[in-house]
Amino acid sequence: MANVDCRIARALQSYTITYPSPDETLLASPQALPTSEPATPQIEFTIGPQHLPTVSPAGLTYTLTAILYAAGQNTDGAQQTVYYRLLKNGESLNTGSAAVPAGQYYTWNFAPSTLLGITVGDVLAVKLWATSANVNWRYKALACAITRAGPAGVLLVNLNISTTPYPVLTRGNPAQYGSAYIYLQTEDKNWGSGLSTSPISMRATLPLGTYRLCRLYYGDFQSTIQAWTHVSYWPYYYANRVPTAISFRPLTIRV
Amino acid sequence: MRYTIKHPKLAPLNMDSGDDVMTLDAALRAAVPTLDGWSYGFADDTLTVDAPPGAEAALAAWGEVSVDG
Repeated sequence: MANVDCRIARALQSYTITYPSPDETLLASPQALPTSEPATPQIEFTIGPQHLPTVSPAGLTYTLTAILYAAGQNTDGAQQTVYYRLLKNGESLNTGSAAVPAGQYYTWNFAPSTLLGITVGDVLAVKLWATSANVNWRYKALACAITRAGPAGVLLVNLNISTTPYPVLTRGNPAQYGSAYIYLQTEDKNWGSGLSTSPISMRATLPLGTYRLCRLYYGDFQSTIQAWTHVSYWPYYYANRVPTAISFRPLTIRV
Repeated sequence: MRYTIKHPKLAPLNMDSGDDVMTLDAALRAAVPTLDGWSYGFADDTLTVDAPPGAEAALAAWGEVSVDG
């Protein structure tokens, strides 16, 4: 890494981001889904401090987001449709459906951009119903992560970002392309460079106010709600490549 | 393929109703029998449909279709 003239460079800033284990629940036995929308959600998470990544030292600007998972099986002899409604604090964010082939498992992966900016105390919930009571659900999980991290409007040099796949669930299988990239933002536009290497090093960059240094793929760069189905994989899930360490040296030049 | 329709023509259906969600689902699957799944976002009033290539014309009944690939 090149030496920087200390007359225009501030001290190196280094942040470490630690992620908790995802909040997972496997029911003792599958629960049949209703054939019409239930009055109360089967799945509910209240975001608490235990769900959140820890940034050390404090001072890094970022946005929180989350991925939710819900998995079960269509035990019927025919293809069935599984419907969902995703809610935040009682308000509908999204609704939709997916077809699940006979006998197969399904996993809803909920990573919509509407979860950007979640905070402690938010209640995220999912209602599930299906075209047959022979469809069940048995597994739920929640994982929170940071995106849009870093300063804005300041030229940075000696940038390093380390990343890791997250979450790694205790059961199931990551889906194809899961956890492939983190998106480095060099302009405040809705695109960037997807990188899977770790660490990522750059001589200089200029993060701006909307997307800052880097963005998660699922839930930010790509707003996604998708049901993966498989004959044996469950959960069958997307994961992100999340930042675990960020360091840079700001210049005194502001843009 | 992922198809996106901003401000889809859903009336008189109300996506706050589970019955209407199922009605829309049936209509979409009648129009595109190979449809994998779909999602409606309340905040941006956008319908996203996952289906094999060639579904644009069948989905045009709900509005202007863009293909995300």
